Amino acid sequence: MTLNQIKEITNNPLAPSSDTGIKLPELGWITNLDPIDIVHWLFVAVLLLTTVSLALFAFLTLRQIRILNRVLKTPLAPILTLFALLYLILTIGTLFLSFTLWIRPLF
Amino acid sequence: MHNPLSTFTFDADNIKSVRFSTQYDNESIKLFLRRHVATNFFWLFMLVLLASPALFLVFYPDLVFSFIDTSVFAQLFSHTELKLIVAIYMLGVSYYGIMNFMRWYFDVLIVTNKRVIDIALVPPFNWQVTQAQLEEVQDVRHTQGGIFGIIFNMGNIYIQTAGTSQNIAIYKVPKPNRVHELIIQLLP
Repeated sequence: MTLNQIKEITNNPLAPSSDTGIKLPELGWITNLDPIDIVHWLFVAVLLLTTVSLALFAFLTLRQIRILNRVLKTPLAPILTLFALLYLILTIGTLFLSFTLWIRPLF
Repeated sequence: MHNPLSTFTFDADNIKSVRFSTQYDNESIKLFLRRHVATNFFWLFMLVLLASPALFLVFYPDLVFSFIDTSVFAQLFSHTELKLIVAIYMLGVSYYGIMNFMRWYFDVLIVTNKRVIDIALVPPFNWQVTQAQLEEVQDVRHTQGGIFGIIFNMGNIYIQTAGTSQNIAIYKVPKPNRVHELIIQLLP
């Protein structure tokens, strides 16, 4: 199979050059992967994991504050709970935005 | 009512604004201790340091984006994505602040007319409550020293209990000498 035939099958102007040694046209898709895209989606995966973790931590913190407020009853208890609730809402909002921006366009 | 953020409260009668879950009806809180406010300076400084790049973006967005547009980030993310990344970063920084505040707020020593109770939070999700009857207290000891210990007059309090009961300690409390004296006075 000639180089031109590979280029026709993969429909990719950046298909293997004569010195790459790649002969299989089925692997032509590899040459379509842009390193920028790979890095971008790696970052996105890490960011999504971070956001999910933060939402989980926020929920656990809210529960923790509610339990600790029962252990130690101080006048600041409602304010602490309110702050923890606000933080949870913010993390869920950010998680929702992340999904809207990065996951929804994929489907 | 005492200041809920106070680090040292003593009332010979009863501190009414604070209660704890296992408190008896006839039990009155005499002494309430928390770590010195100065122990928060480091994490507050770190919080400001970590939040400052994001705050810079809030106040000078054009300047920041003009800089970002010339960097590799412009190829990786759009402006909308960058704003979301900053939001996620700020949430992470806020969590650091919340955890440190909670660690300080829920690390207390309470001395009542019946017992000594120590509540200690170990971030992120652990805490322990230790108590000892005043009759079980065998020895009270305090240590003070170091540059910050002298500047802010703070130190550690160690309460040794009899038998298998766990010893109680609280670190970096204000006026350790006065605390030591008060605990000794409250012992039967």
